[in-house]
Amino acid sequence: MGRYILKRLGISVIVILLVSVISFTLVHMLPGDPAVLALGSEASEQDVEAFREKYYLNRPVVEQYFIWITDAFRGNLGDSITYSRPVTTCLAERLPRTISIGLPALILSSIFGILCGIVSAIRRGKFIDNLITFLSTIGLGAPQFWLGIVGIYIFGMKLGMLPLSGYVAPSEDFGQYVYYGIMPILILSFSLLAAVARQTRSNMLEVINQDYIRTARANGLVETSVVYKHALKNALIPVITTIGLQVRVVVGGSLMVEQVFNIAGIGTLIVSAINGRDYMVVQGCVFVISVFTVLVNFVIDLLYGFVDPRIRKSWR
Amino acid sequence: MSEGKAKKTNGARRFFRVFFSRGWVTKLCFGIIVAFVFIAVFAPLLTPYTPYEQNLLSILAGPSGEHLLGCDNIGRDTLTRLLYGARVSLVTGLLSSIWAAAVGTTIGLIAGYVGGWVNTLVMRITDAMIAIPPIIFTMVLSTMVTGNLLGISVVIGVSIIPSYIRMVNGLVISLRENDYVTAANLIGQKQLVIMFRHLLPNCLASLIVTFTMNVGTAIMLESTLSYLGVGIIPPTPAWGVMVSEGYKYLFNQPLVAILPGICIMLVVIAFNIVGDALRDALDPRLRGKL
Amino acid sequence: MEEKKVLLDVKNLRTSFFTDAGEVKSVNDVSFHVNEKEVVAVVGESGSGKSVTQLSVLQLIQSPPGKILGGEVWFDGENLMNYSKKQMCNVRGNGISMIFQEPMTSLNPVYTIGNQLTEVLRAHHKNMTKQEAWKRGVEALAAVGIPDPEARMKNYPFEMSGGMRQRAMIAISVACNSKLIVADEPTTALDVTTQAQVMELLLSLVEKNGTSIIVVTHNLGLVTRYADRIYVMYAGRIVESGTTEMLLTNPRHPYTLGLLASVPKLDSDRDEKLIPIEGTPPNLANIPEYCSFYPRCPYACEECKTKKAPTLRPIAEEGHFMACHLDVVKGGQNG
Repeated sequence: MGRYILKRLGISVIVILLVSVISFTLVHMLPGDPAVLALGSEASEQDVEAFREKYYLNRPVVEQYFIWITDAFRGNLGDSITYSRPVTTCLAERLPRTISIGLPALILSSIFGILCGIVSAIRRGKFIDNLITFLSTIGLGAPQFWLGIVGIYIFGMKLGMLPLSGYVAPSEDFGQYVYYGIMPILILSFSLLAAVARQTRSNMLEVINQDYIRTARANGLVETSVVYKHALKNALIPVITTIGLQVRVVVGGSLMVEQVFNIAGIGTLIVSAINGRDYMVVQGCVFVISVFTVLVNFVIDLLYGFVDPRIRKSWR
Repeated sequence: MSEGKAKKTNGARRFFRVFFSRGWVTKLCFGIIVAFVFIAVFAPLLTPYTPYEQNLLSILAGPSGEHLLGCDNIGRDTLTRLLYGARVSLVTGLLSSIWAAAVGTTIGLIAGYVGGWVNTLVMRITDAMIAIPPIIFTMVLSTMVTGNLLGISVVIGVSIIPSYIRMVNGLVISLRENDYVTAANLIGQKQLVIMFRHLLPNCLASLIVTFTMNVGTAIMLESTLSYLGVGIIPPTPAWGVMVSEGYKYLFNQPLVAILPGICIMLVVIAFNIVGDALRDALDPRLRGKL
Repeated sequence: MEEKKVLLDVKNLRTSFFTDAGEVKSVNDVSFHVNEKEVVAVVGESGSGKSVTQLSVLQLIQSPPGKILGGEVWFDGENLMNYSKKQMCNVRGNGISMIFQEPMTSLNPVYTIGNQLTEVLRAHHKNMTKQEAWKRGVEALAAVGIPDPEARMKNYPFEMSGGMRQRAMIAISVACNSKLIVADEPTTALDVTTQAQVMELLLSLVEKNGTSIIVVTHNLGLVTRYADRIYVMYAGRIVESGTTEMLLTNPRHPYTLGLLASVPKLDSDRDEKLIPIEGTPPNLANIPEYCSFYPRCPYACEECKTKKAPTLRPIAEEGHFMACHLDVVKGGQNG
């Protein structure tokens, strides 16, 4: 088992290094001279030179990368040009907001997605199945930014039940947090829920036709045991992967939701950084987010083994 | 020869039977795609206006005989802009998927066939690319191409290349073990011939399905980028642009923001469902895998 | 012949599957019975409805698309067709056990053998504690000849060989003291030596525990050695039935004749050729009014196509039935 974990960990580290190369390259492909952008076009030659010297911009690209990556692993992602603060500070400030929207959405969508998938599979072809399938089709097809706008229009403008935008931290005032956060969270969960429900449903339907389910029935086990003990565990194993992949979608989705609801989280930070050519922030954000998804998938890999004895055996 | 032909028509018949036996939903979605392509091609013939024509008298006007779906904040006809918007979506959707399919399939095929460390390296890079959320990936890249249709398509294509690499790679690795590949090797066929004549055709069913679904994904990505202001830029009538412009006047005239979203949704859903139906019709074994 | 007590009596069972291509009459008016301590074989090609018949007896047909349309299933003096879902659960695994073809996939891959065994035991014996169930499970594994049963209880199915898994499946029915074991192609997926072992094990249960066994198979050669009586099924119907001896020495239905001719025998001339049955089984979604074996039958005549499909009728010997307009005896036509 130790060897398996080490191997997965090794792969994750390699992927993280590759991610750092990609995010570095991506950002260095951005047009415009960061020094000129930061100081304005009227800055003196000397100031520009000094700026370049300070941020190692006059060094060869490869050296720049190594300076950045070694600093990154020491917890220093460079300075933001726009905010004149370390990127890590910007991230630390915004991360809690993104998490307070993204995490509840992930949890909600996982739980209800699995439930909907099971109900849908058991009541296959019935009204409830059609309803869930219809809703998840919409959830997968509707753009999140648009869903947000429709939500704002219906619940904010027409019904006046919920605020149009804004954010209150849960630590500040939990009631207000729910009041402001409920719509972004629900809209973010909607498309995730759709994906999880769809995956669970199709897995359940596949598993229900397996021989061992027939055996369980032939052995006189009651339907609840057949479904919730024998079918569910087998069906959930692939769903874990889906949820793992969803983490990536949550990040992308929270970017949309933050933008629509005007929440100052990581998403809005990236968007404004890209528009303002704040290189270090973009680079740092892309890197941190990607490392996060890689680590989540590492955990998912381990989780897999705990659920599936066949994989656990291959660990030994 | 004639037997082979008979088999082929039989296969085609089975294909159409299964494809259309999935009830009215599939047919409807197929119809949506046909209508979408038709509208995109013939947009200028379907409306008396141009998408840039401003009518200051009907700013944010509601639906009327003159402007069936109303007008936006500078008096442009919403219906006309929606029709032209289909062009943008179709072009980016198709272009990006085609180029991603070409590049992704080739890389996946070669890496999977060669195997060894080349394959490992390619797959790790793919993992790394997948780890970056596609929206962020394309947002960063799209700043280089500023609003140009072709450029945006290329950028979106880059972000969906990994899905082709993964799929083709997985298939090739399992196909490589088949006897006919060994046989082809033994009779001394060239590696390239084996790859493109023997392995590629076996990936075709999966490729068609992935392609169809990716058109939907690409359209979604394009509209998202356009909404965020880093994709197609105004005044070009892209659906995402329309949502973002209409958002500001949501209270006065919700149609401008809401309608383009419905268009995006319908088209994306249509491609997803037709992709599903294609998968079942082409190869039911793929169910649950794609 | 001594009167034996009838354990299972199936009358006029009909099961259909409603598919896109139409109604598939998988079980078409099938009647059969099994006596106590008897080994009965149901023989037929794949798609003849032999497995569906057994699944219908236990009401295990996936619905939709399948549906049991009618018939009676008398087991131990009760008609199972009148049973509630809950009562059926009690019969399954407890009164009638079923063993399936694929030992590789018939056990749940994510639970241990012990977990699955004790779960079934405790489902049928509400008062049984976990320890008791475990103990009984170990005994059952030992009874089916699994070495080191205590350790095997903790194994996952994928850690065992095909033969071992099939034994474990049988152990579940042994543990529950089932009166009837339905073995659906129990040995098809196993290698030849294991096949014999599993069959011997099943037979030993008849002697030791007084169990009755239905063996469903396409392999006539296998069952002739073990079965007391044989039912031959074709296209959802029973076409011939009788004791094993009757069917072997005096087969009367052209299909049975064909089956026997296609089975290799160790004791026969080496020169004797195996004669396959020409053609393929009919499409059950579209069976004709007339005899469904007509297109493949070497003895078929005009009458077979004009008359309605034949029903089972008794012939010369007592307990021998067949469904054919003609009366064919080995080597030629007779009347």
